[in-house]
Amino acid sequence: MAQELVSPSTLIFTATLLAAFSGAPLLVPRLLSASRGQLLATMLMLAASILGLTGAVLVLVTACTETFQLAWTLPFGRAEIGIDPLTAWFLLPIFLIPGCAALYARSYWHADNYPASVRKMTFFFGLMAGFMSAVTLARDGITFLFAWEIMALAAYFLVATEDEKPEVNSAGTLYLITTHVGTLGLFGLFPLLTLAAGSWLFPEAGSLDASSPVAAAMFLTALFGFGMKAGIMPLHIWLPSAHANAPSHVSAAMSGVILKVGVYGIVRSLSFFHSVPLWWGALVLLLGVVSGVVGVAFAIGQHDLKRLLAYHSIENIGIIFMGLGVALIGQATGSAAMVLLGTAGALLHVLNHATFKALLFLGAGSVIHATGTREMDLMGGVARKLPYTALLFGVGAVAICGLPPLNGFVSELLIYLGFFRGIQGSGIAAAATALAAPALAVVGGLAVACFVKVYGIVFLGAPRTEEHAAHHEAGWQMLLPMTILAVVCAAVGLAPALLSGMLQRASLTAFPSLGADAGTSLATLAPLPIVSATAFILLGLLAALALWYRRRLAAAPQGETVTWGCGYQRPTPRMQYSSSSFAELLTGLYSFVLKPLTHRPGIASGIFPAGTRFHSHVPEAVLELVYIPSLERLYKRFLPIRRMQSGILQQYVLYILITLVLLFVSDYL
Amino acid sequence: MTHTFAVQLNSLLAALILLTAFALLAQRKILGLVHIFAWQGFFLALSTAVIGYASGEHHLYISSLLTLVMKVILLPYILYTLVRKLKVHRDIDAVVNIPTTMLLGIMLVVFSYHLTAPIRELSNLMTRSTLAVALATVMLGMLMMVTRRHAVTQILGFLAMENGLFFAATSATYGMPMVVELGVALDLLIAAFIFGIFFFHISTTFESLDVEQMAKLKETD
Repeated sequence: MAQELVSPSTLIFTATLLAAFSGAPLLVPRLLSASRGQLLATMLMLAASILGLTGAVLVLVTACTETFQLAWTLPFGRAEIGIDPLTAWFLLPIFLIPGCAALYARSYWHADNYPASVRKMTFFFGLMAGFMSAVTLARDGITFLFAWEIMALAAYFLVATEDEKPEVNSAGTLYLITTHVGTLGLFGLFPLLTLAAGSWLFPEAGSLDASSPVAAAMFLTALFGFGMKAGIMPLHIWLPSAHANAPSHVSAAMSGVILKVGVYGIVRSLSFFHSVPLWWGALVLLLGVVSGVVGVAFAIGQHDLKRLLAYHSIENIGIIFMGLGVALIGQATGSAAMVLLGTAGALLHVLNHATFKALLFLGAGSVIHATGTREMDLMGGVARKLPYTALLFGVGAVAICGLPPLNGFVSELLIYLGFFRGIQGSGIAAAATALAAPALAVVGGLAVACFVKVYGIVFLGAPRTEEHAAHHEAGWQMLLPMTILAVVCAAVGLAPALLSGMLQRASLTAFPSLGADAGTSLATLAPLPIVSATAFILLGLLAALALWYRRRLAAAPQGETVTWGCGYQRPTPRMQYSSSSFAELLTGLYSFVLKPLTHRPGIASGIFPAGTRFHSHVPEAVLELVYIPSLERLYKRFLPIRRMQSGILQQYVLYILITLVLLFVSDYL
Repeated sequence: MTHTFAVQLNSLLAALILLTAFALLAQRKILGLVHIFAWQGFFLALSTAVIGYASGEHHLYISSLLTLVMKVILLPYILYTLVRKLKVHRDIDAVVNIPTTMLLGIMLVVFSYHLTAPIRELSNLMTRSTLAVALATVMLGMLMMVTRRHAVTQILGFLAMENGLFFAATSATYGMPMVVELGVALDLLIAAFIFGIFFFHISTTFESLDVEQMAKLKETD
């Protein structure tokens, strides 16, 4: 294979380099004008996407595994990169989403409108995309960490694109701190891996024994380091503000793919082990349930469209973790069906969440572009002016809710099937899966409620403010990427059987113990053809219903009034449901964790009641009520130790002298 | 020159180096410090040459020559011009007064001798007895950095430490490999340029060369 000029690995490596340096020409302002440079970078990114996707699909179809040694001399032994179906599966979103987002940026963040930031934004966008791919290609700890850090730093510069705004700056700083705290976990993980496996190279899948304490430490550090990046619930604090403050296409790429690179890290590190103890699976499942339920509950309370989508990312990462938890429990109890269903469900949800969340973020970007605000309570009636965006956003919304006939349904179905397999078992494993299944159902239900709110408030009704009424439909560069993503959503939902072979190969790479049991295959475990058939029937019914409704609407009398007019004499658009009134019931239900801040108006009294206002806000409770207070306490507690940092030069030299003398003495003793 | 004579000569030079290290601790005038530093470099160069001659390690002659050029001529010259240009003459009052510093220094020398005693037992090099002096010179240089407040004396303390390290290398193993020594010499030269630039910046920013002023750079709580 390696001798061929156009082998899948060559395609993928070329695509990675092409993506990483697509923005480099922009760094020389004399060479290219910003607009032309952006066009060139977009075309390079698109070329990288096409090459990379082709390569990844080829790897998945042929299930080839190759490793290459890097010619590099650092004192860590050999450095390797390689491809296998697991890497290739994660490369699908890594090349699909940034390609779409780059095209979108050509219109959304056009060089003529943002001359100050377009150069660095385009450069770091390409760098981030390329090094996300490099992370999945790395086959040893050092290469992995290099790629990981470059990816994380590039993402920081993207979050901080509009660094003249203070809230963007603070979001960027929070991201930078958390990403480095996460990397600290990885600095723990890889030396432990070296300790267990004997070299910095990644060991063969399933070659390490998971019952040793070193393995447990590795599992926990991996969960911490990668979980921080993936945005799993108690570690998600950076995610809402970073996603809300980055440009929309960057949010799409970050939410769609960077989080998935974190998931990749976890899957890859779990793949090293065999005979996994039960508590690993239970812990991952628990984290998934917490992220899923609490994430979606937070989402319901948001008024900022992009913050809301960011919390949905946390929810979906929770769903992915539930799938991984099922797989690990299956491994502990020896149920190959659970392993396959859980892994396949998690991996498919990785791709699905990447597509529909990118679609939603791009759609949100179009809406924000048209209305000039992120506040949902100022929008309204956007669907009339942006019909295509509304339709595409609707597709994304249905997909994220896990409803048929779109892709979210398929992956959640696989995870449900995994749960049901688990319930048939016995002991703690059965209890855990039995408790997790309703949690997934709750997540699905709340997600529907949340997107009904988003769609109703933003797209339907009438514009709430004159100032933020939408005016224009997005350009083709914005609509085309969204259409591509919507088509992928629909295709996966309508014909999941097409992917089952690839999914199975990717799952097999992650958990090679599956190969021992030849009887388990995704085709026999999951009723994918029935899913397809149902999806097509449902689509037909929907089309028929839409046609019938349209015809009836044509016959109905045409009139225009304000939504929720309710027979008042002089209704105004402000009488419509607002995002907080819609969500009031649900945020109230979850107030024990959301801690919403509500300022209620006093009851109007007297003949001429004074003006009053209602205000509600759901803060990032985990950050503001847990992390910041505990860090402040830590800061105060360590005040005496900080006195050591006097800033006086002689004291520092004295510290060195004392250390030196103590070292000598200790050696002498 | 017989072997025993060389050993005795080397011991004498080691004593002189230790003496200059103490002189550095005691001297208050900055120009005087530069002179003492040059003398220390001269004794070091001489000692290196003697060891080179007695041990037959002829690459030590190059080291000796390098030391002579760098530490006796070039660095003192740079420091001398700096001191003239910055118009500094006397050191600012030390953190610890000079008699106490000397006592601390004596303790460090005793400590060094105590520490290197096992090495004296094991080694069969002719320079084994001077290792304690070398270690003491390093620690005395460090002590000078701890007790003095003037930026130029800080640098002199640092350079004295470097002298001690160099002496330790020649005493313990007849010198470092040539490449390393050339590298160190180059580093010193670069360091001289850098601290020259820094002196000017410190003196213009704080209008003083007192390094305690730099505590102002610390973030306040």
